[in-house]
Amino acid sequence: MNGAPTPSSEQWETLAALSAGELSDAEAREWLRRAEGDPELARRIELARRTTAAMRAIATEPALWDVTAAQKSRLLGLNPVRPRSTLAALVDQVREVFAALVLDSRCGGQVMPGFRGAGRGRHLLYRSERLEVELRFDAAAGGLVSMTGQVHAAAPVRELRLVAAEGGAERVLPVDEAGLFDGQVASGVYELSLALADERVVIPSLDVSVEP
Amino acid sequence: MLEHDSTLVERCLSGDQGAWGALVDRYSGLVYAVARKSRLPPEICDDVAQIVFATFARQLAGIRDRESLAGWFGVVARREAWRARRTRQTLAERESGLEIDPAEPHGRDEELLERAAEVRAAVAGLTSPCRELIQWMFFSDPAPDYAAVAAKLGIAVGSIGPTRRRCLARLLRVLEGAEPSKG
Repeated sequence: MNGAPTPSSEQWETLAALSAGELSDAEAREWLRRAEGDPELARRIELARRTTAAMRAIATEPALWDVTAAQKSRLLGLNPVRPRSTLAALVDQVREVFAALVLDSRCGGQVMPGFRGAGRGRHLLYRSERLEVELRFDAAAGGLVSMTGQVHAAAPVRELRLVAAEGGAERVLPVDEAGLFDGQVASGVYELSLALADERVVIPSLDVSVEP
Repeated sequence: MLEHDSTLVERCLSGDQGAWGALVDRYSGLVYAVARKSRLPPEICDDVAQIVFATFARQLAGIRDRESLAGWFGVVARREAWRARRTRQTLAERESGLEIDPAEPHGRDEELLERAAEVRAAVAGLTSPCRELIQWMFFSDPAPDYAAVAAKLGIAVGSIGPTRRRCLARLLRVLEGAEPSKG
């Protein structure tokens, strides 16, 4: 914005028609002639011209701009701002550590001996200093992902918390005395966290998905 | 309504989860477009997008020009696409023993892609029927005929021309910052 008078709706519509090539040659010439002595008008004509050129570029190669839901989901998982639940945990002075990915069967890793289950599901193993989390994802009805797993920790873990990267919806799965848990979730990227008495173990960008 | 980039960045820094999603919606298309223009294979385009948004996440608080991030995303995406292309060329040279010319920069394509990202964001911020009308009539080649658009919008064929012109004018006003994107 600048201090110049704002054009009326009619003037904007004429500019739109000019940029779309809908004015007669005589009308177009007249507007361009006026623009020679009016820098603001010239700037707005240039704005209209560049806008229609950009729209033509989009129309010519629409596939360039396609971003699939899965691609977007991975980018959403890079959100630098933690969910509020994490901030609350930090305020409570609970130590927070990240668990590292040790194995992902999708990447060609071998499932560890003794790992529960078999078949076509996806297996992951995460490890932090004080615990290990085994995860298994299988396709479930309705496009959901069945998530089962086990926590191996010296101290009891009562629940597993999932926060969706997109939208921030939270889901809590109970963990039984043997460390087992299961539930069905929508595919996507989540922050998974497990609370110990004085430590919170976090997997910041867990890609919950299975091969179609 | 089109939220300015600077507002989204502020919201993002204050812990608003939805703001990051809005920035991903707004600029992921541009980043992929730049990577694809570099003729990189799909998996490398994914890597480039990840690197660009991870860089953005790291630098978010320190970005000075927050009014329009199209320039920032365009520059960083081109840089990372060029790096990816150079890495692939180096590997290809080692394997073939032949020297390959480095990739040419895209030149005038660069500004056009950034402008296109701004236009897409502005159109996404318009309300019905202008948003749909512009997407149908300007973002597809060939554009559908007036009868098809009239049927989709539920208005008379004779109204399409004036509505199209009014919506395009609305878009230009939004792009100039003259008004919010109600339309």
